[in-house]
Amino acid sequence: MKTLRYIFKQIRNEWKSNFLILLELFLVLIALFYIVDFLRIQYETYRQPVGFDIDHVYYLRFEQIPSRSADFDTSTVVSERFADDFLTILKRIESDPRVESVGYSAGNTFPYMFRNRFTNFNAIEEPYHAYIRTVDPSFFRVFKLRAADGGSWEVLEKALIENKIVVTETVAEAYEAKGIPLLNESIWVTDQGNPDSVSLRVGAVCVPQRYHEFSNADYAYYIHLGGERVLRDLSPDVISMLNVYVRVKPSSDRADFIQRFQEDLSSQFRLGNLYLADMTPMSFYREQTLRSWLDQVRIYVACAVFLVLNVLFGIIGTFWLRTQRRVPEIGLHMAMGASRGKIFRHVFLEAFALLAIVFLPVAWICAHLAYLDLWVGTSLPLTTLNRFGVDLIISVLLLILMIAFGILIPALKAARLQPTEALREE
Amino acid sequence: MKKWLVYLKQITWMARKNPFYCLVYVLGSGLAIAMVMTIAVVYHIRMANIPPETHRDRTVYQERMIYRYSNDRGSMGNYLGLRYLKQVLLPLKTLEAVAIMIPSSSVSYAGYYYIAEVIGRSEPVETDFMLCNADFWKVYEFEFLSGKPFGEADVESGFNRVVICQSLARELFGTDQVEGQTLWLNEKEYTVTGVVADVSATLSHVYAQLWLPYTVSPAFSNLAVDECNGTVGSFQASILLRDRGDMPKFQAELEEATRRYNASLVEGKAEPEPASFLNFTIFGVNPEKMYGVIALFLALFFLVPALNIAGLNASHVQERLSEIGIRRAFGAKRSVLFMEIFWENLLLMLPGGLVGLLLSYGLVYWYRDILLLPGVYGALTSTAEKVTLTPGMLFNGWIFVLAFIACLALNLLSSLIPIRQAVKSPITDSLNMSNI
Repeated sequence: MKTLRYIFKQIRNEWKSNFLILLELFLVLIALFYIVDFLRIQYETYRQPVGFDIDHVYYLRFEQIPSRSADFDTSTVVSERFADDFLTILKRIESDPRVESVGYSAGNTFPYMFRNRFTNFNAIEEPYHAYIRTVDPSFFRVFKLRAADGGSWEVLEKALIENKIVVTETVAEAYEAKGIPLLNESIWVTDQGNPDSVSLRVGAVCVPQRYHEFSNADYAYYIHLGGERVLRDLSPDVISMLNVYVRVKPSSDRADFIQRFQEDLSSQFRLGNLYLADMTPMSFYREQTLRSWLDQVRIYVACAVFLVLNVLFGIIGTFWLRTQRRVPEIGLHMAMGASRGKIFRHVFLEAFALLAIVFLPVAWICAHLAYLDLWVGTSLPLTTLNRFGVDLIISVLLLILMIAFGILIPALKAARLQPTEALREE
Repeated sequence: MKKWLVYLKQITWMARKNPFYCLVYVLGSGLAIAMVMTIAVVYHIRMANIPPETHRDRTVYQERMIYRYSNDRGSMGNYLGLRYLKQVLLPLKTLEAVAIMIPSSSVSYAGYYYIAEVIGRSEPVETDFMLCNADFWKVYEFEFLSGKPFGEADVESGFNRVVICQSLARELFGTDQVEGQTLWLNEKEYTVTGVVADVSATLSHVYAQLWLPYTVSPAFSNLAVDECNGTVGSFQASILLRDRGDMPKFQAELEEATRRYNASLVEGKAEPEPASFLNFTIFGVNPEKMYGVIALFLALFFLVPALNIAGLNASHVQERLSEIGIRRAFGAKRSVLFMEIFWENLLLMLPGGLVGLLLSYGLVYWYRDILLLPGVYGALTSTAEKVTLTPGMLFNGWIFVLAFIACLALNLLSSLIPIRQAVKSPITDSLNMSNI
């Protein structure tokens, strides 16, 4: 390609004036690589399945009537009555035709709300903290958790009812990697605040779960709350702090659902000294949790936009002036028979040639960055080559786009020159 | 003066001949200035003395506390507990006043809320509240539109007093002259002692829509709790020193008092976070690393546009080579020529600086919930919409001076190499225009 050789020669001759734009392309390409990588990792992480389903699920908050209130019912102070009241209210909710299922869990909330109890699986060293999730078996039904081998929530429910625990697949894989059998075997765990270890039998393995769309997979086990028997021993304070989740039938879940539901059943939701205080869709908590992550993404996108805008201005400015200076030269070319299309293409090729020159040094540096793992850490199953390669390609494409935009006007200007005018200047 | 007129003439001529070049020059420098000024404006809003936080420069903050059970039985971490405050922090002498407060954002997760209404006049409204002590009004200087704050006596006896902000007063009462009137909070009666001008949510230590004595809430003023719950609680403390230089003496006194407090504890130890001046940080970046991060950010986002402008300068100055050659042939000094072109470029960059400053205001406004709300809790509540920007935050002498200095620096950076190169080359080369 004679034109290409000519262009590279031209660039070399004018290296002094090309130096600055080359340096700029160099810096921007490296910065873009890092930003594109970050955004890509966030996006891929976001897309991974979270392992649970919160569509049409609401979080219910109960409260006790304070003892000083005129409405306080002294006959229900005994906790057994309180537990019965609680379970009765839940049954009433479940029997409403608009409701699909009701579930509840103790203190630790999951997903999207950050109150947790931690534990350690004795046989595996990491993570430093795994989660204990104390739930009623109905929890699985509400969040549509599935077993790792494809079974439905009934398998998981059964395990809890049989006094066994359910572990997430991440835990199962860790045990497998150590060659320790898990299913139907007993494993040792050390719960937070408890110096002694406890032996528990594993009944089932559920699909991998993540706390939210941007976190890594959880190591966790589910254990039976205890049902009616245990609730009766709990104080009213604890019972009113249980987390209740309701899954509503999709056809009934309309915009005014909360208001109408609470109005329709306001008498049903109050029993003894327990009443329904609040009903919030889980999507609200999801938004809150994800907001700071999405804010970070916004900032990175803003930085990328800033950088490519700079390249745009740089290319426009430099090549505009350059075209102006080369008017006599272009005129000469035209007089010697070069078509307008050729002139147009020449300008384009020159800009892309500049990019091509910085490509190799940038690729070399980015390869080192990738090799030294100097970028965002992630547990996604992406090979370094894949990650590095696709990131680089995306960054280069982005710059090509910017350069194409920037060079358009100067190239058009060059192609539209009248040879006679151009030569007159000479 | 005449010199500047010549520069101005030169630029107008250049603008008419090459409007496109000037546009790109202005926009390019605008982008760079915008980046620098965004950081400057955010820093100013987060760190400068802005009423009611009028004494940020001599305020020390202590917020987090860990109570560690002895015998490795674990620990509990949260904000400061009341017993710790009353025994350690409040009695200290090397300070002017201590404000203790509980903002709604730090307890809303536990279900604490205050719903305000005026019976017969307004709908119930859920509010952002702050529980505080009487000295809170000494540490922070609020602008009272009517009435006055509640005092020590009110706090000690746990009377139901409240101070509300102007917009809430207007929403509930229809006017802001409501001193002495009654407000219902969670269906209990409270007397309004005063109305203050609205506070922006970026002032996270004082922001609220209503302020109450902490003693109105039995949950937070209960001293009859165990060691752990007396040490760890929900309070944050702002300590006003008489002078910024009192810090070492204050820290020494605080350490001593903490040591004595720990000696009185039986089941564990209190580990308060060190009290410190305000730290500048965004996104939870470690404050010590923050200045490094800013330096890196500036290096990249200032340098790249500088390269752009330098490229433009290099190309542009080539056109003037013949003029430079002639003037040098007539005896003009290199330094004089350099300064001339330097000042001309600066004049051209000033509109770019203005564009950049305006753009930075836009960026700060658009991203205000990320940049101006310190900490995680700020973003977790609805206060993101209530981050208002006052003229005092944006338009002040410092910001303008800094914008000008940024222009100067950018100009220097982008002019240095190209212009020196052009001015230094031998006269014959300059005169011979075939050096393209």
